[in-house]
Amino acid sequence: MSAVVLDRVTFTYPERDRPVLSDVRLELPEGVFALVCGPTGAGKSTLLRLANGLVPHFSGGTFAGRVMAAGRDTRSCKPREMADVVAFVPQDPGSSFVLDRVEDEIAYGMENLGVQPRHMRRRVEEMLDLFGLASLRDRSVRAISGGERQRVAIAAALAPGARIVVLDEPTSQLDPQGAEDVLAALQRLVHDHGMTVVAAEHRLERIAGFADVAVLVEGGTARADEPRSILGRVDLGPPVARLGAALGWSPLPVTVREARRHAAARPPVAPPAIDRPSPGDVLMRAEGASYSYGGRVAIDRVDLEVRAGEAVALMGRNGAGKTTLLRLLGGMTTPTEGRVLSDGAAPRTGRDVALCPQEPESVLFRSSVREEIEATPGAQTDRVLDEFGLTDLSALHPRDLSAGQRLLVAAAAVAATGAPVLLLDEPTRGLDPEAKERLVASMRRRASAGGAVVFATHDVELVASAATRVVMLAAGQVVAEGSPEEVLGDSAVFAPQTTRVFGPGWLTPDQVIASVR
Amino acid sequence: MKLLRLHLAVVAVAAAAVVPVAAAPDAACASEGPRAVLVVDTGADVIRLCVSLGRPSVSGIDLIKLAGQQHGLDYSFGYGGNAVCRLAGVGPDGGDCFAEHPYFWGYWRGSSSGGWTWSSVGPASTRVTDGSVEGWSWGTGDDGSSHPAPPPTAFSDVCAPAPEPVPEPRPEKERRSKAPEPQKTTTPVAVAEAEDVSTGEGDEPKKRRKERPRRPHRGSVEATPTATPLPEPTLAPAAGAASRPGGPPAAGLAAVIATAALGAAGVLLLRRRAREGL
Amino acid sequence: MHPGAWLTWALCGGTAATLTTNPFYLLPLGASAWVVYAAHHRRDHPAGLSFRVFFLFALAALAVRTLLVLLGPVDAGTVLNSFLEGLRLAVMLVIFGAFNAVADPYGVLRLAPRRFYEAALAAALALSLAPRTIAAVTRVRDAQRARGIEVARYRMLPALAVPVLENGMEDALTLAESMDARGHGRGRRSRYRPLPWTRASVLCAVVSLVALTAFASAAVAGDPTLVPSMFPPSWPEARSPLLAAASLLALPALLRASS
Repeated sequence: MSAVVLDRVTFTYPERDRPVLSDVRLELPEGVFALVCGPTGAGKSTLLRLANGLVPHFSGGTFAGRVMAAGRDTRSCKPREMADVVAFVPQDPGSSFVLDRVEDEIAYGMENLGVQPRHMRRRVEEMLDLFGLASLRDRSVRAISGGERQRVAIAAALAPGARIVVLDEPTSQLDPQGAEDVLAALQRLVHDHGMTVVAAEHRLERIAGFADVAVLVEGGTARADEPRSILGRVDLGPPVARLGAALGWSPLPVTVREARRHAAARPPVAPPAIDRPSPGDVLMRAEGASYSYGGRVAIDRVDLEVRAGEAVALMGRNGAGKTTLLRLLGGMTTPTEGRVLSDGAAPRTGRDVALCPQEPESVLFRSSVREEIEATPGAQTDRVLDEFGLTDLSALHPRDLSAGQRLLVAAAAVAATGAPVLLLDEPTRGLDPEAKERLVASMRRRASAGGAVVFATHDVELVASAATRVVMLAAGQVVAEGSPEEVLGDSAVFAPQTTRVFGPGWLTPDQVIASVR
Repeated sequence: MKLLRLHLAVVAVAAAAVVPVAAAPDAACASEGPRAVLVVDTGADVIRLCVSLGRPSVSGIDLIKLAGQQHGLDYSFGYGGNAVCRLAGVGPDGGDCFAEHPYFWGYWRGSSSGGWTWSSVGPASTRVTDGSVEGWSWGTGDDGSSHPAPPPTAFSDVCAPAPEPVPEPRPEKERRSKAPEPQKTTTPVAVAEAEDVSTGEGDEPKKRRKERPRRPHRGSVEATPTATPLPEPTLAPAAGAASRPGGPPAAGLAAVIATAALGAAGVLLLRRRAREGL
Repeated sequence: MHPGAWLTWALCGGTAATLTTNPFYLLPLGASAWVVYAAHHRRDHPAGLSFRVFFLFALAALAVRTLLVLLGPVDAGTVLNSFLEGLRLAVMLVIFGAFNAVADPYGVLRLAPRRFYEAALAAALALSLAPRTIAAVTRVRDAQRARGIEVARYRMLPALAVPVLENGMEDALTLAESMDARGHGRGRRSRYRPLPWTRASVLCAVVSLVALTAFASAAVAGDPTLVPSMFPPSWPEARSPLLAAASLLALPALLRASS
């Protein structure tokens, strides 16, 4: 029995000439974990939203063909009538919340379906346990961290017990351990209860090992296949797949475990020392900086130097204080104790340092990408457009771009200040590998031109390829600091895939491939 | 164009949140199976349940079992599972269903007008189909003239045109065997290797598309609800108020002192809460 | 505290305020609302901060109401009358602002009988609009400052307004979709964990009702101190039972919200 069937589906958004998906045929059997992947802006979100009828019932546009989920036809069933068979978790969990307390939010869907109160009680408790939310049950959904919100949104969607769960980038705001936990919980629902999970995700290194089926959305079509055959493509796959493809491993590995079997047969040479230019002058420093509010210490006596030519990665679990530290460095808030200095004085926001926030939407207000960059005081527009690979998109309205592209535009608009220190908060959410590559390249250029980049991220592969130094935060304190190979190398949670396959000292597939040739 | 979407969104919010009429689900929603109403009158309480049958017809006994699964109705059968002993916690527990005679569960069958007819046969041999209404009442009296009938109930009183929700997730196997399987009739042959010729079935999506334009309902943004203005204060007739020239009266002073005291208390409370981080 | 207790408190306080233009009753009413806000507003929640906005609205209402009459030919009595009516409106706004800051509007929504659920949800969402917008303004202003755009300058207003409005619209779309996708409006509802009426909640509601009863019975009895005449201008009289009733509305500030 098929859980989701797309039958010759063609869909065009209102006032668009070209369909975003055309003649798509797809069948997902019941009880699989399906990974939806593809480049930024290819129509992954559209595909997901077809499953419960949000497209076309909410989007408008022209729809042809038929979508069946759990035997219901979305042409005649509205999303609300699919609610008991398809659960949907949107990309931005923050604005999807209806009620206020975590517990009530989780119960909301069940209330709508008229589930008996005593079953609801039990079900809410199960969900709180399954997603580690028990301690947050009385909190406001608006006052918890992004990662916590993401888990609440998933719990709330799953609570009514729909047999099909559709998730749009369910781990984009989660730290590596949190992501692992959520994906494992979803997999358990698939294995133990025969549920069907359909998840779009860019961070393939996290999810590849869980998927039974991969759906590639690209160029207006979608096809389902074994994960191996789709993730084997160099431009899409997780680092292990890139390694395997370059080293001629067959069958191609998609998980670390599979890659290790190949690697054991052929141990590589000792890792080459990574050549990094020695950092220049100190551009900014935090001296015993602390920040507390409402009786809670968010940042606790942090000492940190940022030097010219550096790309510093701030890592740590959800709620460790990364965003707060960035705000202190950016001069957005002043430390409650200690100080932050740039050139001997408090940093001037927008001059000495610029900060790109987690939500790019907060920055964008002009009607084209070019105008958006021009709006930043003192912008060298053409150079910045080029640097971020946005020249082709410069005439488009930022709102018509995909989430990943918008993030690039926001980062570019902020970088256009020309401030020597650029701070980025979670810069790779929703970015496909190609867009990520562009971002990394522009970060490198900025560093080599005598600037510095400090970025907070959960993306270990980004850190492996872009960071010159890693600062690990826990409960507002710096708990480890050093080069990526030192800090990530012996971490059970934060080690990148290449390190897991070949051992400490190895960070990226490129490094391995270069040393083999 | 993006703005259009946004306007639609506002209308959608307004429509979804404000108009209860618009909230009634589409009756055409495909996989909705046959349903029946079960009324249980314990004498103290009347429970009315809308039960999905999952098949075109079931027996009166099956209907109670389904109500147990879907709504958590408590029940127990006796005489080899053919008679009803206990419902909703009332009645003997299994075995002899007449253990509490003269009280027992009377079996009634609903008519389309909402009235009741005493059933002359047991619940194991009746047929319950889409739209049926079945009633059980606890009481004395051995036939339809003396046993109390449940309160009049029509099918539409209980089963709204809304589709019946799945009340709670069930273990996989149970669900598979009981749930309706509408796919058999509606799933398209479709998918990857289908070398489908243009059959009637194949043409259908296109036809449907013409018949039913897929644009969501458009309305004007003015339809968005606005906050009700606060009531305009009205001037009361200033009749017979005793006025007194000179300084404020003693009561007025008390009012000012009370206000100041409350104001200060508020400031202190705010400070204390800020300090304690409460 | 049961949201119904806060609702009762706000309705009683608000109704009492509508019954009088006597500043000696209105001021303790407003001060009571302020103490309740100070004691019970939700600190971890944006709505807890929106009291400030309501307070500013209240001041504006007072000023506008008073200044408008100055446009025509007036005597002192008319000005004083408008001032007192403005004060009444201001106190009602303060009571409403305090209610918004202490009670979870969604908690109130859950009290709505099933058939009014849709209307109540619309009201709750509308109520949450103010705090959401305030949070969005703060976020966007920060974000623009971090790229060197100071929104304080008039010319740069679009940099603030456009993201706030567009995000608001986008959020509205997401919310509407999310509600629908989670089965909102299927016409059948059950209720999760109804909150208990604790002793504190009952006390809060009873005290509020007593205060309202005092004002209402005075109004029915035609108490002249409720609406004092300003022709000619004079200090209004006040009666101590009503003063006590107005101050009684501060009592919930002493109650522990959790017990």
